[in-house]
This record gives sequence, C-alpha cells and structure tokens, in this order.
Amino acid sequence: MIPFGFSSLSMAWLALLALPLAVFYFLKLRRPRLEVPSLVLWRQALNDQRVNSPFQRFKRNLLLFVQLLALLFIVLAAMQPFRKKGDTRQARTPILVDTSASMGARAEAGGPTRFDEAKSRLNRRIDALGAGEEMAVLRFGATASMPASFTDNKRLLRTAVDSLRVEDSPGRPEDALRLAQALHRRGPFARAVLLTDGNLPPETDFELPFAVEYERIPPGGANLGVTAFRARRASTTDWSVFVEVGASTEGDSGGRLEILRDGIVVETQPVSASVKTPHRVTFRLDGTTPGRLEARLTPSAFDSLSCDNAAWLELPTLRPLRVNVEDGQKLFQRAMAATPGLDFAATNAPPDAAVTTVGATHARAELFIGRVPEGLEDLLRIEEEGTSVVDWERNHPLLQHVNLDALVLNQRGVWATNTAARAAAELGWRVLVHGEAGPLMLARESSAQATYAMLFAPEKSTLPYRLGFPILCANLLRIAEQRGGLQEIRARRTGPVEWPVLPAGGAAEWVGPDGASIQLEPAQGGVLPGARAVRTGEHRLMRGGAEIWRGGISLLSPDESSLNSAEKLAFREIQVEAATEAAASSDRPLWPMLALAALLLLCLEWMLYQHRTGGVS
Amino acid sequence: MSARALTPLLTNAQIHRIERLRIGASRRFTNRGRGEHLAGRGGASTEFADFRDYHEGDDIRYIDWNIYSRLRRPFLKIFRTEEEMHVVLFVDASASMRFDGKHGRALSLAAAFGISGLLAGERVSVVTFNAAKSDPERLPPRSGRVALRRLFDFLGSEREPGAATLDAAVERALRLHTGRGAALLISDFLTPGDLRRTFNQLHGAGLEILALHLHGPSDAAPPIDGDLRLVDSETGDTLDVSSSPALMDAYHDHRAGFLRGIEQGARRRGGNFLSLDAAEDLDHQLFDTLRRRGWLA
Repeated sequence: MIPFGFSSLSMAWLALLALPLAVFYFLKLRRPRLEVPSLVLWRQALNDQRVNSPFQRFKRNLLLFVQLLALLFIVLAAMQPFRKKGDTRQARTPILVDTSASMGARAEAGGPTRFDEAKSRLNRRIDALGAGEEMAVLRFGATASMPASFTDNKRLLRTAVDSLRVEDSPGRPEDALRLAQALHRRGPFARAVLLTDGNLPPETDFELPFAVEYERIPPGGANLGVTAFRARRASTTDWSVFVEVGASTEGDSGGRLEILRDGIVVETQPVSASVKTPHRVTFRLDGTTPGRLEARLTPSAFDSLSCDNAAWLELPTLRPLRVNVEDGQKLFQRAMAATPGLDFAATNAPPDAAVTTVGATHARAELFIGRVPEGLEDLLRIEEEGTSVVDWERNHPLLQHVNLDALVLNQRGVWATNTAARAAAELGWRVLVHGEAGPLMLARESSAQATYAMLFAPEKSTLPYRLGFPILCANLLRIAEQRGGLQEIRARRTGPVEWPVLPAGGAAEWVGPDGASIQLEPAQGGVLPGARAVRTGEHRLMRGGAEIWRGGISLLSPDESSLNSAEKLAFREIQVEAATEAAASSDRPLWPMLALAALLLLCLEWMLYQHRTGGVS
Repeated sequence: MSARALTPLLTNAQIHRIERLRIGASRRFTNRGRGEHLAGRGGASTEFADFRDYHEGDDIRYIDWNIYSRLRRPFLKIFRTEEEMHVVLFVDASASMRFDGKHGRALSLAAAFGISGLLAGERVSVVTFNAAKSDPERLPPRSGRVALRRLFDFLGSEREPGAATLDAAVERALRLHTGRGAALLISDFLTPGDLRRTFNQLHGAGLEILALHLHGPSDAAPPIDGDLRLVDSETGDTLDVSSSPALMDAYHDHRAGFLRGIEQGARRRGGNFLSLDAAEDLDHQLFDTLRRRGWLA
C-alpha cells in the first residue's frame, strides 16, 4: 500500500506555474553590466571552471532552481498530501467529544486542560479532512447535543469546536450515541470516534450499530474534591451534616475543609483522602433556623480540577411533620400516634402526610382509603366481594417490610373494562397491590406529590391485625418526610434546576456564577421553564434588579472527581479498548511541513539574491 | 620661476635625470652606423677591449709599442666598436589600456625610453596601435636631441581607443622596419593573439625583446560581486558571470599563468620581461625598479 495520498490531487495543475515562473525569471534577470579591460582571461577562467565543476551551469541558475523548488513545495502543499495511518479513512465520521467536568482537569499547574487537548486533536482531524469526507461534532456531558452535523465545511466545523465548553457535570455518553445512531440511520458510517478522557461509566446500556473508536486522552493530575454533601435529621432540633472528600490519587492527598454557614466558618478540619479511601466528615448543626452551608476545600498541593472544591447545601428549619388523618380513620390515628414528633393539629399550612376518604388534600404524601381516585371513576369500581392479594411491589417505599400474604379482604377493586388498566397507566397510575379481580392499591407519583389509593377499607380486611399495618403507616410518614425535606437534605447538583414558584410579575433573569444571564419567562402560576445548570457555584434569580432567589449548585460526583480513566468501555456485549495515541490519530497531513519548506526556500532565495546583487536599493 | 614643462608625460626634472640613463639592452643587436652603443666585436672606439697577435695586414697604428719594446713581439690593441642601435617603442593604445591609467603610464615610460635612446645616439622609432583594422601609427626612426620634440608630440597626440591587437600591430610595423636593436613592448598584453609568434617575428627582425607589462587594480583584483554581465572594453563582447570564490581563484590562476607565459616567451627569445603596476609612483619605477632590473643603466 502506498503510504501517502493526496486530498486534493486536482491542484496539481498549479505545477504549470513553473512555465511563467521560468519565463519571468529570465525576463527579470537583468545582470548589472561591468566593463572590463578584456574578457580574455575571464573566458579562460570560466571555461576552466565549467570543466572542473560539472554543476556550474546549474549553479548559474541557482535562484531559478530554488524558485522552482519552492513552487514545487507550494503545489504539493496545495494538493494536501497526507501520510496514511492504515486504512482509517471513511467518508462520514462523527466525533463524540466528552465535555464532562473531568475534561477540565489539568495535568500540571497552568497547563492545558484535557478538553484543550481534545479540541487540539479535533482540529487536527478537521485539518486532515480530505476531499469527499464529512465530519459531525457531537458533545456530551450529562446530556448531549450536536454543534455540527455532517459537513465538509472546515470553517463550520472549527466554529463548532470553538463553541464547545466544558460542563461541570458527569459524563453520560448514551445521549450522544443515540444522536449518532440517528445520524447513522440517515446515512450509514462504519465508525464513530469517542474523544474522551475515559471518565465514563464502565458499562453503557446502548447497542452499537457502528464501531466505536475510543480515543483516550491522558487523565489529569492529582485531584481532591467534595463528592458528597448532605444533612440528615438527627433530632427535632439538629441536623447531622455529612461531607465526603474524594481523591484521584492512590496515595493520600491532603487539604483543609471549611464549612461555612451563611458565610461564617462553623467547622474546619484537615482532610486526607485517596482514590480508595475517601475522607468523611460528620458533625451536628442547629436546625431551628434556616441556613446556607458551603463546604470549601483547599487542597495542600496541585489540584487538577477546581469545580469540585466547593459545594453548597440549603438547610431549612427543622419542624414537626404535619399529619392530617380523617377523624373516622381511628386505626391510622392510633398507628401513627406511636411515631414521635408529629403534629396532628396543624391547620395553617398544608399537611405533609394525609389519610382521607374524601378527596385531594394537597399533602406531599396522601393516602385515599376505600375510594376510587378522581379521574378513574369510569375505569375502576369497588365491589363488596371477598378477595385476596395475588402480588405486590415489595420494594416500593410504601410497602417495604409489609407482608400482604394471606390477607383477607371483603372489598376489592375491579377494572371496568379490559382496557381500563392501560388507560389508568396512561393517566399516571400504577398498581402496587394486585388482587384476584383487579387492583387493590394504586400509586401516582410526581415530583410534587405522591398519591396512593387503597381500594378497600382496612376495617373490612385483616390488615389492621397484621404487623404490616403500622409499618405501612410509618412508610407513609417517611415518604412525607422525604418529600417535605424533613428527613434528608441533599445539595443541588448540576443538571435540571428546580425553580421556586414565583409570585406574579414579569420575567426573571437567571444569573450564573460566571456572570452569564438568561431571561426566563414564567408560565401561568409563576412556574419558570425548565433549565439546566452546567456551572457549579451560586446561581441567582433577579427580577427588577432585586435578588429573589439564590442557590448553590455543586458537582458532587465521585466519578468525576476521581478522574478515573477506563481502559475499556463496554457497550452491552461489545467492549471497546482505548486506542493508543498513534492509532487514534488520523492521517497525518503533510501540507504544513511543505508550506514551511516553501517559506524557508523563499527566504533562502531572498538571501541568495541579496548576496549576489549586493542588495536591493 | 620654474621652466615650462617640455611634455605633460614627464616632468623636466625627470627628463633631466633620464638624460643620464641609457637603455640597458643585454644583447648586441646593433647597426653598422657609428653610435654610442658598444658593439661586441672589435672596433674603433676609445674603449680598450683586448690584445691579440699581430697579423699581416693589420693596421700598425693599433700595435702596442710598449709591449713590443719589452717582448719584441707585436701585439695589436683591440677597441670596442660603438655602433648605432634601433630602438622601437611599441605602445599599446587600445581600449583595455584606458583602465586604471595604464595608457598614460605607458606613454610616460615610452617617453622616458625614447629620451634615453635619443640622447644616447640611438635611432628611436615609435609605434602606437589602437584600432584593429587600421595600420598602427608610426614615428619614423629619429636620433639626436633634435628629435625630442617630435617624440613628445607623437606620444602626446590623442588617439581613439580601439580593439587593436599586439600581434597584428607588430606584424604590420615590422614591414616598415629596418635595422637591428631592441623592441620595447609596453602593453597589458590582454590580446587574443599568439604572442609567441610575435616574439619570433621580433627576434627574427634582429630586435631584442623588452616586454614591459602594465597592470592596474581592475586586472589584479577585478570588482566582481554577484551576477554580472562583463563587457569587453575593446570588442563589446559580453560574458555572464556569477561571482564565486572558485571563479576568482580560476581567474587569478589564469592571470598568473598568462603572465608567466609571456615572460617565458620573451626569455626564450633572449628578451626580458617586467610587470609594473600602473598605479605605482613613476619616479620609483624609472629610477629604481627599471635601473635595478637593468632596463635603464
């Protein structure tokens, strides 16, 4: 196989420029005339020199030779030669670029980031793009996008590459692979290039319709970062705060961890962690007042990634769980009364947990007893017939440790039609407990509310006499605690932002930690459109110049902070090994060297001209 | 008040000093006419040469009677003959001599040798050649102090530089030449002709060859730098050269060989060769270099 090729062979016609070059050379070469007494000696000397030096004629036209050589190099450069690196060229190549947080790591202080290296490689690939070849650029962090679809326009591709930024979020290649799959359906290609530092999940649930060339960029240097930050309800007045610091090195990396509450340092600890043994810090904080916690990590040595050195946590005021149990539900009242710290008498605020036979309570976790939920009246009915439990979701939070075997019931739910179950599923309901003739418990869960429907009255079953009944009640209360943020508070991570519901008014301005701002137009009811935060730091919502919301967003990704670099990536049953740098690089373009050689030759020609003629006036 | 210069070619002081010098021709190519130049054979001058036995028929006036009175044998006193020598001054007036003041120096040297010859009683003729196709200009043989004015006028007259060659000029001049003596060739010898033939002709005509080569800075160190088109000052021919150390070395080698060839050619015919720098001081050349080399005695 010939190891060289030309991307633009048609430019060979430029070689015809040698003709006018030679013509102009001889037309231009006006030698200064010098009158000498006689040419007798000169003729003899010149003849003698020609005899002794067979290249004298060539030397006389050295300038022309150098000019022709420079033209040859220019023509060759225009033909865009390349050195083949095996049979790797294909007409369409999608490049999947990792823009996750670990790509922002540096190998040394002040050095380029992994992402800079990736962009450099990407630009080299663009430079090497030959005639008839197209490239697409896809980026992925937590989500994916396609800055440039298949094109051979190098300027467009470079603009797309320039627009790429590292996101402070974990790397998930599935979306990008799906985008590539969509491109593959429109026009097949044999191979996609995955440009990453290898900090990806070891196994990706994706069936590859094409081969993946895993081009791994060497990982960054040592890193120390906050990988977990949360608070758990320790008592009715205290939070138990938990911070985890992870490292990327096998040996211990040290630093200092400061916890600030509303800007005031409340805890300082030295930390030392390695990749296998993260450093964990637990301490108690007063929960009677709200506060904004910031975990600030100061590594004692070089730290390759800065976005994981801080994390933020919003602590609400600890309060009793508000529970509303209908007066007629004595069984539930008695079962829940055993749980300490509950407020059964709150009337000013919506309850966190509710048990009712009537209707919506707007509680975060509500349980309907012995009635068909609103909207399912046409699909479901309750019959006074005996039945038993066939199956239930044992791992559901509501039914954890609840044994429903041999439960006797005198009421049962029955689907009105054969298609009612599907219709109910389309409305967001799913069956938690299956009876002999139909569902016995249903659940509908959203980010705002969890609604459960018990299609039988407990007193018409043996449930109250079972150990599972108080457990079910405790599970309901725990769900309410979790959803009300009363059990555990986790720090916000990069990704979709949960905006607060705004009071009526105009648009709000979302200002990120880097000062970039986006206008958000609230929908009806003050609900802001969904948005993804890709930068760690404190984000603010402004309206009319006043700050109406502030929240810290953190990375908190052990994988990203570990800067782990996988040797192999698994896609279902296919394993892809990281390619060496030489194999991963594309065909080596030779035109820059040729252009440089042409430039040097032109400089040489200029020097020769200056030397021979004594310079140009 | 200084006296008016007799000629622009030489100062009066130089002329005065030259008057005491004689052309130092080593060979004895002389004419039968009586002159001041001593011939090799016996003659009637006052300068004693040798004794020999008296033979019958010898002029008894030359018998040395003092020896006879002592030895009683007659010996004859031999005296040197002072014969006239024809000095031909060939002056190159071609275009190549117009560089670096060579032509002016050639005229001055020719005037000096002419003065020396005329005041020594020799017959002096001058041949100048400048144009290739025309006959060389010639000052017919003269002798005596009265011919000085004619000599100065001839040498001082203006001539157009041309492409005359030395060999052609000598060949044409010798057609009109009579008498034996010496031929002084003052030239840069940058001529395409064959000088060996010229020297043979001169030698065959009974003329001792005195080849006086004049050179200037443009001959010894030509100002060649870069790509140049050299133009021959005589023929107008051109030659493209690109300066290089190799070329300059070849030029200098050829020049040295060229001069060596002229010297060998002259010496092979019993002549002499001397190379002078036209930029050198004339007094030094006349009264030091030429005297030490025996060209002017």
